[in-house]
Amino acid sequence: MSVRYSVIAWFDGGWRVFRRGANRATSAHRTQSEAVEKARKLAKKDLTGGTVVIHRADGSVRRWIDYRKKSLPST
Amino acid sequence: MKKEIPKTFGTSVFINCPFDEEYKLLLQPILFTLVYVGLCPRLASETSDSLEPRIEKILRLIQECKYSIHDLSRLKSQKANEFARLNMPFELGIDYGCRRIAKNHLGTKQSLIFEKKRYEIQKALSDLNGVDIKCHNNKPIHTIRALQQWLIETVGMNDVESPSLIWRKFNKFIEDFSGRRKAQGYSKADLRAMPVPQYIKFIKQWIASKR
Repeated sequence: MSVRYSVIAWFDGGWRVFRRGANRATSAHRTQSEAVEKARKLAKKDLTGGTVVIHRADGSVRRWIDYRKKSLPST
Repeated sequence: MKKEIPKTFGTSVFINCPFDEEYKLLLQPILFTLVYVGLCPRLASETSDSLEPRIEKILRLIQECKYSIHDLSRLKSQKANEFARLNMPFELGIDYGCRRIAKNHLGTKQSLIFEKKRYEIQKALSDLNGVDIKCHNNKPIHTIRALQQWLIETVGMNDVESPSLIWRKFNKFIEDFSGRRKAQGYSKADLRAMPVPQYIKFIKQWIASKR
């Protein structure tokens, strides 16, 4: 199963990146764009590729970005 | 004849709030938090029996719920010549009267009043001076924090999880909810117009699937 990183608004007015299933935030950022950048890098770095879910400050989903690598056809 | 106490009285929360598109952004985390901690949100919009007058429905809900949340953050008009919205303070008045006058279980009712900015209500409703009111700044994340505090302070749910955790779970729910509903053929308009009981059902299903 591929990894999912969520970018969500935080209580201090900043943004957090959370890896699905993790108890603590992967990273904390002042702006949403910084948090998105970090989440993108992490998702791309994953062996199978991951998904980034960007939330709005109200919790709704702004965008899904899919970096999952398509498996090569078997020969 | 003595009226029986409804079995769900102690876990039901009457939500007195606006039913506009903009307010849904605050209503959704309120619904999620209440269901998450095991309470049952009740709203005037939960049924639409055309023959039941709205005021009767509200009176019924007030009598069936031990707890109530009154959001008075929309008291102020947004533009010139717009009328003030008086339904919420009216329903708060009924709820308060019911609690004060009742000689039965209704006297145990407990409430949370929300305002947008601190001390804003007092300018319009000075009768509420001295009453503990929580402000949510019109932000869902702050709404969850204020609601969690009220659940501990007033409802006595001392073991309720942190606002940070509830907010994260709410965001996860939203991710799964929007993904699954789209896969089931729901359009954005369908999601926006989803009736509250159905939304609550999806929250319950999601929470059950995670436990």
